[in-house]
Order: sequence, then C-alpha cells, then structure tokens
Amino acid sequence: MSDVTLTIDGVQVTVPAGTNIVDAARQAGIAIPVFCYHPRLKPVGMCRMCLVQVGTPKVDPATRQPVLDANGQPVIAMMPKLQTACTTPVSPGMVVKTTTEEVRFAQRGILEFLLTSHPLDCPVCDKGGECPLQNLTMGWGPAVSRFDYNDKVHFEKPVKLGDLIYLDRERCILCGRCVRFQDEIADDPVLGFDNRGRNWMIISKSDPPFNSKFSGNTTDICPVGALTSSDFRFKARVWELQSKPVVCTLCPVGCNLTLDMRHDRLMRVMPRENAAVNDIWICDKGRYGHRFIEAPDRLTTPLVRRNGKLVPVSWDEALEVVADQLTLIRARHGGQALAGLAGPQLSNEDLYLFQKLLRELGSENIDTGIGGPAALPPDEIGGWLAPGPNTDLSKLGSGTVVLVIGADPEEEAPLYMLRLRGIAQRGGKLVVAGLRPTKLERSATQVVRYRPEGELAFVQGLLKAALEHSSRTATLERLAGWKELRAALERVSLNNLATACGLTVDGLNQLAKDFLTASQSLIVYGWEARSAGPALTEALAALMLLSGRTGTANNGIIALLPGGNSRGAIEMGVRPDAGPGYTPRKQRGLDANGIWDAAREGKVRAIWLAGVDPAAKLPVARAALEAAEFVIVQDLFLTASAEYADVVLPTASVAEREGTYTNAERRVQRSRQACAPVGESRPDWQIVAAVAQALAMVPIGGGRNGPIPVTTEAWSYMVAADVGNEIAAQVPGYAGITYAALAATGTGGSWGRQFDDAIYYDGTSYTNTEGVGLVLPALASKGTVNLTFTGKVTRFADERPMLLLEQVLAYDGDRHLRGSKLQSLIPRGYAAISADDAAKLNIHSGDRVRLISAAGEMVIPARVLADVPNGIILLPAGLADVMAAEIETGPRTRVNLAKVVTE
Amino acid sequence: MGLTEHIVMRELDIPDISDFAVYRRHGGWEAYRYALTEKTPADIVQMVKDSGLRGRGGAGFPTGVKWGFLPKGVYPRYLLCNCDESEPGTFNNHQIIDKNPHQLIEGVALSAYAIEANVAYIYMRGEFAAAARTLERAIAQAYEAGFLGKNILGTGFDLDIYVHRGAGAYICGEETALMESLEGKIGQPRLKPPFPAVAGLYGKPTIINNVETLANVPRIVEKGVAWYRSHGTEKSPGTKCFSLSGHVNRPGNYELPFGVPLRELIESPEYGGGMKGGRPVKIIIPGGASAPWLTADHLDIPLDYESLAAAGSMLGSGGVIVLNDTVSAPYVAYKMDEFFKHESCGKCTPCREGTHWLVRTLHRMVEEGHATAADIDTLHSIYRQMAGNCFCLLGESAVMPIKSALQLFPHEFEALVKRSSSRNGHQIPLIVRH
Amino acid sequence: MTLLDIHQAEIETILARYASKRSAVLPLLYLAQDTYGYLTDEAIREVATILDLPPTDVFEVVGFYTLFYNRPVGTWVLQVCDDVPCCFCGAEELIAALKHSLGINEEETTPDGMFTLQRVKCLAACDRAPVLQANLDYVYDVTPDRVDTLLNNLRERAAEARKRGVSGRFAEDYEFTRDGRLVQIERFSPYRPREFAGEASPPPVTPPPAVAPEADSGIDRPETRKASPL
Ligand SMILES: Cc1cc2nc3c(=O)[nH]c(=O)nc-3n(C[C@H](O)[C@H](O)[C@H](O)COP(=O)(O)O)c2cc1C
Ligand code: SF4
Ligand code: FES
Repeated sequence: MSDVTLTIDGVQVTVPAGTNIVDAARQAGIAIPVFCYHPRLKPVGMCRMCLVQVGTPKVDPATRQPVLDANGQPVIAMMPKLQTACTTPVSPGMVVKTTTEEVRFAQRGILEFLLTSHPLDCPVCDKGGECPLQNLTMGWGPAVSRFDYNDKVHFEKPVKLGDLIYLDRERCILCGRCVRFQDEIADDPVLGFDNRGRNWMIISKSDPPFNSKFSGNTTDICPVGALTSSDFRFKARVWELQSKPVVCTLCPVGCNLTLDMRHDRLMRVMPRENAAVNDIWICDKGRYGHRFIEAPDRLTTPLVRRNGKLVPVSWDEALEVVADQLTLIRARHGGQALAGLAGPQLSNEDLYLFQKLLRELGSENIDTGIGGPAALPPDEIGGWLAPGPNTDLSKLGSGTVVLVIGADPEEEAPLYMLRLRGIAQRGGKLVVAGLRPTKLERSATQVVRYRPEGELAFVQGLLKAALEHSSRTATLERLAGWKELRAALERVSLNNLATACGLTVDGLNQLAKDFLTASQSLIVYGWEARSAGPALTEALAALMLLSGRTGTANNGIIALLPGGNSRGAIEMGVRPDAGPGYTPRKQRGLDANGIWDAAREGKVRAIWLAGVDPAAKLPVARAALEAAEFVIVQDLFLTASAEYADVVLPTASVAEREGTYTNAERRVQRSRQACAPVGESRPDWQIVAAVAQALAMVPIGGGRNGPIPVTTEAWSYMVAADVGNEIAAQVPGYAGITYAALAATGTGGSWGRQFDDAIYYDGTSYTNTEGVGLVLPALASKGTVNLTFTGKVTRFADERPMLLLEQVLAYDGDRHLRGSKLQSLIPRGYAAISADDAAKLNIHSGDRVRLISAAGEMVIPARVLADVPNGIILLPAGLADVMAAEIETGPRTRVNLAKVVTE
Repeated sequence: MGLTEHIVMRELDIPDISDFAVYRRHGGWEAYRYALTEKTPADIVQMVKDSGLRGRGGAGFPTGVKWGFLPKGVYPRYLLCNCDESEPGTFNNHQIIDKNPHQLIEGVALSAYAIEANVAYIYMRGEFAAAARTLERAIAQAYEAGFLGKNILGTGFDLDIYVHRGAGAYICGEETALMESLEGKIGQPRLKPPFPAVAGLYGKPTIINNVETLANVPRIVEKGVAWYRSHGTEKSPGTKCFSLSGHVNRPGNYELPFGVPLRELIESPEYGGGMKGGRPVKIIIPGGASAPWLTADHLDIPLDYESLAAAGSMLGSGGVIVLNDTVSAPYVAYKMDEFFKHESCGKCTPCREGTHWLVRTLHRMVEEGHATAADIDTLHSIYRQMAGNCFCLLGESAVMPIKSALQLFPHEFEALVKRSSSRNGHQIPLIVRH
Repeated sequence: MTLLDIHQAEIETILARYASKRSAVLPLLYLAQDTYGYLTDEAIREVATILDLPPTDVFEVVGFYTLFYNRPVGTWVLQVCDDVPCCFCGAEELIAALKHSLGINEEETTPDGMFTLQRVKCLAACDRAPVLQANLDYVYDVTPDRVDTLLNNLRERAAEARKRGVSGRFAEDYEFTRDGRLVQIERFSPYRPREFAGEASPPPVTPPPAVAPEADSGIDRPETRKASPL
C-alpha cells in the first residue's frame, strides 16, 4: 500500500495508507490516550478517549484542486466535531491537533465520566501500578471528584467469570476489549454484555463459564483491574516484581514468557512479545500451568535406596552410587546393558549431554518418551522439511495455503490455533482436514472430513494430483522408497482416491494446484495424522517437496509433537537410530519398548529416566523397572517410577536454569534463569555432566568391557552456554546457534512496553529484550533430504467394529499442571462416542462402558459428544486415570464397545 | 390553511382506506403497477429526487439523494422501513400503520423496486405488536393480489416484504443499530463509514427510510412531482404529519404542509384547538425529545426544516410537545433525560455516564429537593462534556433538554437551590469531595 | 417437548425470512417467552441451540431488550408510559391508582401472579394519554377512574392471556369509550375521529366496516404462512 504523509501537532509523519491516527501519532512519538483501542483488535471508537481535532485540505468543488492560501499553503478545513483518532484513517495532507484546549477539555471530560462509576480502589487493585486509567488520571484527570459518592453504581464485588478469571464490575470501564479479544482473536465468543446503559456488564454464559484456553489474555489487555486472574489476585504489587524471560516448555509452540518474580517467588506468568511465535498472547496452560515450579512436593535432595527405602543423601554420595553401579554393570554386561529415556520437556543442553554420555558409555538404547503400544518412531519429516529461516506466521495472509491435517491445534499447540486463524483472517487459505471436527475448523476456508478409510486416500489423491501439475520430482527420485510410492500411486485412479475421501477429482486437483502455486504453503499435522502410520506423513512430505519451496521462509511442514522440546530431543539425537542432527548411527539401539522388553529379559540392566515417568502409565515399564538391576530417576517430583529407583536425582525446573529449546518450527529459543534452584536440585545437563565426572573418577575404570571412555576434562562444562557452544559446534544444522547469537535477535515486535506505555496501553505483555530465537537453516537446503518412504500404515490385528483414537488434551494428566488453577479444568477420564453410537447402545453421558480390544479391556465412563463421528471412540490417553496401554494394540486400536449394566 | 387532500393521512378523506378493497378502488397500487410496467427503477429514483422528498425520520435528508448513494451493480440490496418510532412525543407512524397500512406497503414495494431490492423489512418497535399484525395481514393481501412475491405482474420483479418486531429499545431506531438488531444482535450503532447505502444489513447495500417517508412515495409517483411540490415550501416540499401532544385541547396527528406556523398547529380549532384551560404556553419541544426547546416567543415560526433550524431547534420527527406554565423546566429536563438514560445503549462513555450523572443530579434537585449552586455548574459541564463527543445522536440528543432548560429557565434552577438551602434541618446528603 | 417440537413449522417460516439464522433470535425469543411464560436460562440456551449461536450472545440480547423477561412475570404485564408528555396528562395518577388497586409497587407482581406493574418510556400514543399496555395490547385513555374496569376485564380474560403469552404475538388494541366501556379496536376499522375528553360534541356513529375484518382465530392456531402473527 502506498504511504500517506500528514501532520500531527506540527510533526510530519509518513505512514502506510490505512493507518489510523493513533498509530500514526505513535510513530511520530505523540501519545494519544486510548482505552478501547488495541492494536490487535478492530477499532470500535467506543470509549471516546482518543478524541482529536482533524482537518483535511479544502478542495475546490469545481476544479477538484486543493485551495491554497496567500502563502501558497493548502487551506485546511477542520471538521466541526472532534474525531476519534482510533477509527479515523489518515489521508494525505491531513492535519491533526492533539493538544488544543478543545481536545484537552474533551479528554478530561471522558476521564471524569469514566471515573464517576469507578470505585477508585487503586490501593487494593491488582492493576494498580500498571493501569492506564490510573496513569491517565494522573496526567489528564481532575483532582477532585464532583460526582456524588451516593450516586455510584454498586455491584457485588468480584464475581467469578470462570474458574480462572474474576470480574469486578465496578472497575470495568466497558471498553469491550475482553469481549472483542474472545471474538476476534481467540474465536471463543464466550463473553458478552448483559443489560445496557449504565447497567451494562460483562457476562459469560458458556458451559462452563468463560470456556476458553486463552482467557488469561483478557486480564492483560483489560485496561483496568476489572479482570483479574485467580492465580494472581492479591498476590503482589506489580512494582515489586522482576520480570524474567523464559520459554514455555508445555507444548511445541515455545511461547515466550516472563516469570514475574518477587525475590525468589513466582507471582505470575505473563506473555513476552514475540511477533513470530506468540505475538503478545499466551494460552492459559502457559500462564497458569507453571505452578509446578513452586510445588511443595518438589524433590530437594538426591535420594538413594538403602534397605528398600529412599533416603536423602548428598550429591557426592548419590553420584558415587550412580557411577559405581553404571561402571559395574557396564563392566559386566557391556554398554548395551545401559539404557536411557529423556522427556520432551528437557532443554537441548540436557538432551545433548544425556545422549552423549550414554553413547560414550557404549549404549545406543536412547529414546524420548516412555514407549507403550501407541509409541511412534521419531518424526523426521517435521525436521527435514521444517520451514526455513525467517519464518514468521504472523506475516502470512493472502497468497498462503495452509493444510492442517489430522491435528487439533487448540489442544496440541494452543497458540498455533491463533496463528493459523490469523492467516485465514488476513486472507490466506486454511484447509483443515481430519477425521473429526476441531475448533480450528471454524476458521477454515475449506474443511475436508473423511472416514478413517479415506485419510490416506486424501493425501495420496493430493499427491497424485500434484504430480500431474509439477515436474519437480528430482529431489523425490533420490529418496528411498519413492519409486514404490510412485508406482503405488500409478496403480490407483484419482477418481477412486477422490471417492474414498469424499472429495471430487476437481476438488483434489484444485487443492493440489492451489498448494503448489501458492506463494507460501505450510502443512501442519498432529497426533491423529501420525497415528495413521508413516505412509500418511510421507505422502505429505512428498507433496511438500513437490512445491519446490521447502526450506525457505514460511514454507514447510510443522509437526505437532507432544511436549515442549520433542523436536530438540530428536535433533539432539535422543533416539535409538540416529545421533545429533539426524545422522544415522551405524548400530541401532533399542527404543523405549525395546528397552522394556530387554530389561525383562535381563539384557538391559541399568535404566536412566530423565524427566519421564513410565511407571505411571505402562504396566510393561513397571515390570521392566522391577527387573532392572539399577534405576536412576532424575525428575522434579517423586514420580511413580521413583518407586523402582535406586537413585533419585532432583532436577531444577525451567525457571531455575538456563537452556535452549527447539520448537515445532525448528526455532531455537533461549530461556533464562529466573530464580535459584529449589533445594539442592540441579539442571539436568549439570547432573549428566556430574555423573560423567564421577564416572571418570571411578577407580576400577575398565573391566571386561574396556575402560570408561569418559574424561574429566571433556566433561567440565561450567555454564549452560558451554554446552550450547558445543551443540553449535557439533550438531549438524546448529552452527552459529550460540547463546550470544540467540540473545541478539531483535526485540520481537512493535508493541509491548513502549516509551510511554502509560498511554500506549496494549496490555501488560512485556517487550522482548532477550532475543526472539532463530529458525534453524533448512536441513534440506542442499537437496540432501534423507527420508525414506516406508509406506507403512497402522494395521490392526482384528476387525472389531469401533476405532479407538487417542485424543490429545491441553489440560491432561501432565504432572506439571499439578497444583495449578488448571487442575479443576482437567476432566476425569472418559471415552467419547458419537450420539448415534450412543443411541444404538442406549448409552448416556456418564454411563460406564467397557472397551474390549485384542490386547485387553477397560471400563470407563462414556461421554456422548455431538461432534464425534460414528464408529470412532476418542480416548484422552494423557489423563492420569486413563490407562490406555491396557487395551491399545498400536497407535490406533480396534475395539468393541459395550455398556456396563451393573457391576 | 388546511389541506384539500391529504397525502399520507388519507383516512381523513376516505374513511375506509384501511380496507384493501377501498384502498384499491381509490387508486391504491396503481402507482406501483405503473412504475413496474412503464418506468425503470432509475425513473422512480429521479422522480423522488425531483420531488424534493425529505426523510421524515428526523434528519430530513433528501430521500432521492440517499437512494443515489447505492453503489452501482452491487446486489443484493435491502430496503428497510424504520418503524421503531420511540421518540417521546412522536406517534404518527403508529397511526399510518393503523389507519392507512396499504399505502405504506405500496410505498415500501415501490421504493424497493426503485432501489432494486428484492427483500424489504419493516422494523417495528416491539411494542407495536398489534400494528405488526395489521401490517402482516395487509401484506398478505398484497401477496394475494399479486403485488408481492415472484415475477410480480409478469415483469420479472420479485419482492418479499417481512415485518420484523424489535423488543424494546429506542436506540434501534438509529439506522445502524436497527441493522444490528435485525441481524440478531444487541442494538448498538455501528461505526460510520461505511454508510448503510454501501454496507448495511448483512454488509450489503441498504436503504433505510422512515414510515412516513415511504408512505409519501406512491403519491409522488401517482400524482407527479409538480403536484407534490405544490405543497409545502421550496426546500421542504410536501406535508408533514405532526404529532401534537401535551397541554393542548386536541392532541393528535395533523398532516400539514410544511411552512405552516407553529401557532396554527397549536391554536387552530381544526388542529390543536388551543391550550387546555387557556393557560399560556411555556415550553414547546418541536421535534421529539431530541429537539432543543422553544418558548411562546417562537409561536410564529413556520414549521419547516430551515426555519426551525434557524430558530436553534429542529423539526426532527415532527413530534410537537407543548407544555403550559404549570410545568417546572428542571422537572421536564429530568424526565426527558431519564428517558435518554433509560435508552442509552452503554456503548460510549459520554452517553452512558453522562446521562446517568445528569439524571442522578437532577433527581436530587427536583425529586429530593437537595440542590446546590455547584450542582448547576456540574449540570453545565456534564452536557458540555457530552456534546459533540458521543458515538451517536442519542447521546447528543440527551444534551438538548438539560441545555435548553438551563439556558431558557436558569432562574428555576436557582430557585431550587434557594429552596433547598432555606430548608431547615435538611442537609445535603453526604458528598465526598477529595 | 422442546421449543422446536412445538413450533417447528413456525420456526422454519421465521428462519426462511432471513439471510442469516441469527436474525431470527428476537422472534424465537418471543416464541420461547410465550411458551415458557418467561425466559428461563434453559429457554435461552434452547434458542441458542436452535440458532447455532453461542449462548452468551443470546443472553446478551435478552438482557438488552426490555420486552424480554428473564424472571417470572404476571399473567398480565402492565406497562404504563410515564414519559413526557404522558406524565403531565395523568400517567402518575394512573400509576398511583394501579398501585393502590393492586397493592404492589413498580417492578412487582401481585401475589396471585396476575399482574406485574412496570413504568415504561414513551409508547407512541401520547395523544391517548394516559396509556398503558397489557401484554402489549394498547389500552388508550386509561384515566385513574377506569382502572377497576380495566383490571376486572383483564382478570376475566386471564385464561386467554395465558394462552397468548406476554409477547404480544396475538396482540389487539383496546380503548375506553366515552361512557367508560373497554372495547377492542377493530383492526382495519375505518377512520373515526378521535373522541376528545371534555368535548361537547356527540360521539360520531361508527360506520360498519366496509369489509368484515378477517376472522381472527389466530389465537388457537398460530399461522405459519408468510403473514404469521409475529
Ligand atoms: C437515537 C436515534 C433514534 C432514531 N429513531 C428513529 C425512529 O424511531 N424512526 C425513524 O424513522 N428514524 C429514527 N432515527 C433516524 C434514523 O437513524 C434514520 O435517520 C431514518 O430512519 C432515516 O429515514 P428517513 O431518511 O426516511 O428519515 C433515529 C435516529 C437516532 C440517532
Ligand atoms: S472487563 Fe476490562 S476489558 Fe472488559 S470491558 Fe471491562 S474494562 Fe474493558
Ligand atoms: S474511542 Fe478511540 S480509543 Fe476508545
């Protein structure tokens, strides 16, 4: 768009056409006060705080030329009334006056009006200190109140809007920001206004009330203390807080957070602006789910099992036990008798050192996660084909095609839902395909819904159609398995594929063509897509490669994996088949399930669990841990697995340490330390290094299987950055990703805290001064994609009628959510079925049902949901009381469903 | 100077005109048939433009000009008939529907043809429940007679007219609030631009006109521009149905050509029949509650848009409220602003807070008898802080009663203060001043 | 029976009028209000479900418009206009008389559940002041001395009122004749000059309607054709 030059208070500014006066003035360093206006929301002009004088050059109606005065200057016709700067777009030659007596009078007037009904309870208000009403009152407001105190409208003091948010209606200035945020940005229209006039008030009538995963953001953008979070109410005064920048590790988005600390205590979690990742928002999981940091049951000292009991010991003692036992077992049974599992919440440093040590000890038995019937091999596609450097979803709009397939972003990666929705709102094409409806669908420009038999047909249909429109098959031809895939595609007709997925041939062709010809195209897939088997994601990879744009900014595949750093774990080589940077290992180790089997057979004898709790979910794991000779549990809490541990090592939480994390887009972000570690806990990387050091000192050293190849010098990392530097030097693709580089990557956006944030009130989101992360260069940039097309699909042992799908929930049994305000929002275990299926079996929500598979059976309450397709059962396997492993035969399971009449 | 023939209130000339057959017999629907079969929509727009017909809903904007704002070639278009009539003192739309409904429907149909709309909604205030049924039945008759529906009179023109009832909100008379309400939302005004002609109902080009405005259209087409212009004044052609209420002998609706002096409306035995009990006129509110007040000094002002504007007031909706010397000006202002406070939608600060503050202050002064000199200053500043700063005209209108009362009858406010401070034992209730 | 079961045909006709389902929210709320007596939370949610709207949006609408009652109201809701000019033409006296006869204050309901009394703003019938609406039936010229006649009449018609509901979907208008009888105003009745109080001239004879007004049995069978009584 072209630029427009105008004059504001005598200052000339040039801004893009379409900019409103408030934003134009901001660029000129002129503050126009606002309340209802928020740069991320559509202007509404309700509060009238931003009234200014506006004039435009007078035009001679006859000649259509500007009228000039004696000095040759254009004559300015001032508008008779003041205009709201937030709703008035700039125009060439416009003259704006923001400080005249008239403007001041109006602004003072509006402020006085707003204060008439305000309770003026700043001393006890949580917003005090960062409240624009308070600030503007200081700047503009009257010194005395002319309003009769008895005339104030009184409301019952705070009412609960939902479990997380309280509303103080007396403080509300009815700017509608919260309502508009929920409608426009979150697409959860759960807030509204009841009544009218002076009795207007915010209500929420969803079930449960304020049912939104983004509710906390309303407390940020509420310009007064009307909305407060149950998590922070009356906790602290904001001027006592110190903001510490960290990265959220609770999902693969990696939102930038600040932990607001009072001394060493966490008071609240706020978003830290990063336009490319979370903008100025975070989801409620990130905001309220960090109470685990201060959980009273955090481990504070190392524990060692003595006479069957875990007893506190010093680090030296614990490390000695670990080193002795590992050395012994290794000496007796070789390095392959060792195994290690690390969780996807750990940082790159932790993960890198974890696999490094195990591999130095001669073990390739390394994996992320806990295994179980539903476990899948590490996702390579989302790594090889991740979008390239400078990726910024906030910049995408028209010209972009996004295919979201088999994913539920709202649950798997909440913030991505906002980002993807934003692309559609800015004119991009958002195709949402899946077996069942998800919330993102409401924002989609096209919805594709297929039956389970149709999902592979859909992707293959797209690929087949794309092959007809693209000649860029060179990259593909080099890939193992491509010939077979291609041959398979040639054997089926597009017509049959279209029929199988419920689209038309034209529809498939159109979509494929759109995807290939778009200026940017992205594919996002999640658990549902991955659980179909690799064939589905492989076909997506081929489709992406056909676009010829992989590895460039904003083009590629984003795989939604569980946990905050699954991508990092894969890239750091915490997997049995490849080392750091997707380098295949000569010898493949055991994956988690292999480890469980081997342990029961006595082949694996020492198991090291870092940030994982397999015993909580897997009977096989319990048996394996029971059988193992030596078990190390390294965690924040005394987990179920710790029951089997010989040594328990307390780790520092994300708040208590530095680290880097790689998000789903392969953006590496740095998280800082916000407080001292609890008790004697240490960061995982330090623990690993300390174990290595202890190993190096074990006197017996060698034994039958050779000397311990670990030296003190090689393992003497002082700070996390030392590990970071080694990663940058050693891990393919991570060259240049040093701590210094990560800290120097800009401020992350345009709003946040501004030079005069009292007035430019955009919320309490903080400006990002700590780096916004770097997207890794594409692995595939040199055309050396190393993918294999296996063509594998999830197969079933039997033909039971119902298909059981795991459902990922944002609020699940994750032990990190313990003790947080989210706990009341975590549902009890259930199996969700469609209304039709329920009717057939006379099942009502709450009835107990029996699910019987080839592997076993389980009894669980049913939940009848309108949007579950017939024949499908959704099982939220992440909930603590759902033992999915009891019945699962693989990532997907065929089951019989029966109502339990009476027990 | 009465009318020889009424343009809108034809029930006065033809007693049974509310009956479809009678309406038909007296030339009803002929203008429509003529337009559809012999004129293009553009011809009708031109005719309305030439007639100088001005919107009767309050602003007096030339109807033909408004129709001309429709963007070319954008369809569908909607026609909305504004029958939210809720302005205190205004009740002529009500009577038109009750007594001459077919002319309104023909007007709606004819105007829809002119602007090329195939759907028209008549938005009635929720309280006009029985009137809504009247219209529904009259519309049904028009369908039966083949004037509405598909391929009307074989011309290929389709038109559906629906009655939509509001549910109690004056603000829904504001054109964009009306559209919000019709879309099933709370009735709050929208930002303008875009104007309804460009993006109105469902974001489509929309024309909205008042009942009386649309009821004029068939007669303009039937009798021609020259005939129409022979009524009223040069700039305010035609007639206006004035709603006369208050302390007059014969309150009611009177259709007069524009330009008739106020005095005639009030005093002529044909119309107002003079003041009840012969008491003197004190306050005249000439254009519904939103109009600045006039006094007995203004009785000779001609009732047309220009003259009233020149006198500092407005013709507005044509609801003329005449009050005698028994009323207290502060009390009238209080009642009026109570109305605006009650109807304030809450969207913008000055209207929501200002009306509340005004009413609370006035309530204390006139109902509780506690008034201070500071209250008068406060009243002055409240309306000044509101004036020109509100989102829509409701808030701006709320300024008028109090501003008029303070300007025209300052001594009555001062008297309240005196009375209050001379009362023994009465204290002003607790006022916290910091 | 759900709202949709009871009024299926009518709801479909209503929906057919609009390009967007949401537009039907006011008519459907009227239907729900008449079906359930007032708008219970469940009734509001039911409307939201029928229209695929977030419940909050429908609650908003109920809260904004004054003719929706989210609390129980009497069989007859009496709404007296107390606006200028009515307040100078007997409205206050009328309200006082009603309060006296009913023994309740504004915004209250009589113990027998028969009447709810409200003050409302201008009803656009200023020439017929004092004026009130009973379940949105206009009653013109209600001078205080006519209150008892009015209330008795309404009590007699309680069963009818319950059947019709409070939303005025089957509203009729009433007026007092000069001799104090309460009569229904015929729809499509020919024009009849207004009777001015205090005027000496005899009341004009009412000529019979040129065409018999449509027989109105709409009360028992809601019309669902184009001209439904909504
Ligand atoms: C608060 C407010 C209330 C209004 N109420 C009405 C009304 O009840 N009836 C009406 O016709 N116009 C009303 N108007 C004017 C309308 O906005 C609009 O100007 C009118 O319907 C246009 O029709 P016209 O051009 O035929 O006058 C109101 C305006 C405002 C600001
Ligand atoms: S709660 Fe806050 S954000 Fe919402 S309307 Fe009130 S002041 Fe605005
Ligand atoms: S009206 Fe512009 S900021 Fe509220």
